[in-house]
Amino acid sequence: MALVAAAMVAIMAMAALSIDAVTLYLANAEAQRTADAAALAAAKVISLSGITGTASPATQTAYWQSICGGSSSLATQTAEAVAAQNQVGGAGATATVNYSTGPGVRNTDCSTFTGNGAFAVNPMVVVKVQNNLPTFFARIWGKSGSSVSATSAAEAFNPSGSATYAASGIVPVQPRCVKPWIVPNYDPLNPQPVSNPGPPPTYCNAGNCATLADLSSGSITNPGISLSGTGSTGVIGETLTLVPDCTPGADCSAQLDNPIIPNRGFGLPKPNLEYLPGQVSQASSAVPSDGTDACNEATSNYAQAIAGCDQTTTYQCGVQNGNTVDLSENPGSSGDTANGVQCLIHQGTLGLGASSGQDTLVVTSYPFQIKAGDNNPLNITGNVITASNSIVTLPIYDVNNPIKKSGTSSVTVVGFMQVFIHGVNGPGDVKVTILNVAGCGNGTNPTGNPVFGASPVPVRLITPP
Amino acid sequence: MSRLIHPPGLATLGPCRNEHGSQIAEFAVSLPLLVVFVVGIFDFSGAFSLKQKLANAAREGARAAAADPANDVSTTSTVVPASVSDAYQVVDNYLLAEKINDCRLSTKTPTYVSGLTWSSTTTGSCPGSGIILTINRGCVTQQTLDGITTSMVATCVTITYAYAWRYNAVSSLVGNSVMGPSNLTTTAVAYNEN
Repeated sequence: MALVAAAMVAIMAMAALSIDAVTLYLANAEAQRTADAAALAAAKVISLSGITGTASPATQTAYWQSICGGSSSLATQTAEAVAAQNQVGGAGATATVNYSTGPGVRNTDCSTFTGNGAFAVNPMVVVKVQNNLPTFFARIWGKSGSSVSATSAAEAFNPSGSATYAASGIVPVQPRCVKPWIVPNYDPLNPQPVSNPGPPPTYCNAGNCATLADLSSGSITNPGISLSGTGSTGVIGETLTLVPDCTPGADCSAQLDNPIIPNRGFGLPKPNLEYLPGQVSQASSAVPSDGTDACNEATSNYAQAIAGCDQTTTYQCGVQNGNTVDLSENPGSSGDTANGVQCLIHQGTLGLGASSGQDTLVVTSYPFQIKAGDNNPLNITGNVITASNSIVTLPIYDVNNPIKKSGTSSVTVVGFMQVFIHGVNGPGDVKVTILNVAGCGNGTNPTGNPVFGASPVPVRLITPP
Repeated sequence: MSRLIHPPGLATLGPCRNEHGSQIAEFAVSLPLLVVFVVGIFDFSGAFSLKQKLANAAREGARAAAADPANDVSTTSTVVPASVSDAYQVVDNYLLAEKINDCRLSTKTPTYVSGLTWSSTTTGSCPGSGIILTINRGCVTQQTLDGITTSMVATCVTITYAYAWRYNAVSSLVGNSVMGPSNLTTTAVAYNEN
């Protein structure tokens, strides 16, 4: 008996070691997962906010502060909320959120990184998650608790201007589920419209509009965030109408010489930007089957690529003539664009006016808020939400390459823009607000592998800097 | 050892003159306790390790679905959305790669539950309630962010797995308390990217 009693001490020690050590390992892995999720969520907030479309935290500092300026900012609070939700050792964890521009740099307030534009190109979030765990058997030795911690880092990556900060030149991005509306590299609100003595104002035209993405450096031509869709202080937040590059009933190639028609006579909200239908060769995945007429009628490959996710067509930035537009598809008169968009964003009735069931975007203050509509499948009408089906990515093409007037034609993608769709009308006009611009072409084929992601400003986990 | 702590003279007074056999008897008495302890340690670490793997599987699945577009999920859907079946495959493949019995999860397809949730339950060759895999593409939590009440939209993947205790085989040695298979549950939350 005494032998066993003596052995019991050793056995208890083993039990303490195995149970407590395993608990700690488990909690450690949980902490790592929590830190990963929190860092990614914060990076996603930065990506979607469009703040990477500003030149650096030195400009529009107040906007930077609202996104990543310490404990009251959106990204920091999002990371903390995610950490509290993903439990570590059975309890919500505490997260410490820092921002970084490179090795050894940590700051809780990203608006202090005013020195250069590197943080705007490549904001990094470092999240440290910590939790105290009770131990069971190790209390025998009076050790009542141990702390576990894990650090994770994530980055949002806007390729615009990456040539300035990356040694290897422009690193292209390749977003997923890009919509087949290839828009010209024109910013219809730069320069700003001239207000005439009476309405309407005069907008810039194809020849004198500035570019969205600068072709030599790949950077954003007019960086900055504008409220209320005006584009007065930068390209992010501009509200415009995408119109098909062919008028209903007319030859689809009629307008190709003039890829922007600011005064198109539809009574549309100006400014307008003309898109070309991209060639979609295969039916898409992730097409909703929610039984609405629009979804049932979105049967062509082009319409399915809008309503669902076109996973087969790759739009790779910077590749010369890497993509094809298909002018045999008439996005205006076929109804394909209208059906596809209606199905995608759950828009009840056609029209560019008030919301009819789809999500809405509030652009009068920054950060922009997405509000759930009546038809949002989440069933939380009116709530501010963090993700929406109305947010899509479009390729931007280089207008300097000539495009044939019919059939298929090659185009060079020089960037992407992420837009929020407000609505669509019957002829295939789409009212959108620009959320992000990613310029990634400088006229040469890109070297190195593109960064993949769900957005033109992809987020990914990285080794903590 | 007990012989050593007796005063030498006393042993001759008792009825048992030779105590060599008593060690074996003592060991026989304590052996069940010992076995229960060792098996218990083994068993609980097995459960912990399984839970760890399940948590990893759930996390992989949630991340895969959260990165997929959410436009294919709708409350009236009858077919399994691409992103849900993506997550389903990822979880199943992870379990199989970790050599965990997937209770024939691979032969099933998830069925629509409510909201934006799909679920699959299968016992297959597993004990107890088998495995329950639930994928919720519209896992909404209310948070106050920057002073604004915000619904954070995420994908939640929950795996419930019945763990059969090996302990059962030896617990009768110390009493007949039978411990049925216990459900290990783990949930992973990943924020929807689009």
